[in-house]
Amino acid sequence: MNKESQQQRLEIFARTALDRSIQDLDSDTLDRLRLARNKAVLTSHAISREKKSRNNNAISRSIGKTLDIFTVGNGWLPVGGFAATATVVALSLSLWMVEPSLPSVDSFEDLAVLSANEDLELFDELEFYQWLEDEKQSHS
Amino acid sequence: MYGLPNNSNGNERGTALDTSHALDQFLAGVERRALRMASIATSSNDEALDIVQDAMLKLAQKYAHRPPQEWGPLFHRIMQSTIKDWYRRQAVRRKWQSFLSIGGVKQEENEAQNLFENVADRCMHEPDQQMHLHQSMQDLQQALSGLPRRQQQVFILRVWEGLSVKQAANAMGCSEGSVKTHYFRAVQALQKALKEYI
Repeated sequence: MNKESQQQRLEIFARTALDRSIQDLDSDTLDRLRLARNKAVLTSHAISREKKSRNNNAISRSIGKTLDIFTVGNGWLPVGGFAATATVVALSLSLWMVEPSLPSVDSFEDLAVLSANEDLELFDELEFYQWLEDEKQSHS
Repeated sequence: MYGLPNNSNGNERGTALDTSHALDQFLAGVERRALRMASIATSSNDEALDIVQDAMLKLAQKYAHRPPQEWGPLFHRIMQSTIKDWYRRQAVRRKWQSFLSIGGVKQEENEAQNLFENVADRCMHEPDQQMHLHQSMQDLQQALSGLPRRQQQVFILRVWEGLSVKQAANAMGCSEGSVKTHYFRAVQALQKALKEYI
């Protein structure tokens, strides 16, 4: 038997044995793997939300700084005032020219969500936890 | 590669959910192989589970925002560095143990062996086949565990994970030449140890 075919036979043997060894892990090991996975997914979700909220804060701060440029002490600079007025006029005109397009509400369920006084982020969380719950149920 | 759920709303909320779902699917697809890889490296089921959990968390914390097609190579790299860290910690621990002459390592070494034995017991149907698989798994485990870490990991990455020389080098943080050398040595050693099966 040549060396190449011997190597191939070794590779096939190892691959087959390793594949079989993961087919039927015990339930305790599978549970621990699932817990580790859920923890990782939750962590990723939390980080993504934190980043989003940090970005929103950064936008608010940058708008605040932009407005600060136009003011000196208690009075508005003439140039700054003109620029701000021009921006407002341009925005108003563009909004007036474009046809109003309200976000479509697909169902009564969405309408209920939109009209509720709760923070929309809460619904975001609910959706995520609902999905997580579905995942758990589909595995059990 | 990994099925991303349809994001019909196209909003951030949908994107966050898509990422979570895609990450969950990805991890579910790699967790068993990662566990086996770690259990061969550590000879301990508990240590292997810890390594896999750490690797999953690191991927989620640092790279979840990256495109899903990058997660595979990144996860391999994280696994390799986590296993390397584990080896370093063990080396320090062994030094202290030899210094203090504390036992108890044997028990951990036996855990991975038991894992293989349990799997073999469950997944076979015919007694002869069961005996054969049981023995072959044990021998493979023993032969792989006996290899130096880099040879062991190169062999698993190349043969089982199907990584190219370049991908394996990237995952292990070494040169392609080094991967080729480790692979050659691993094959030589395994052919000798497992000659009755090949």
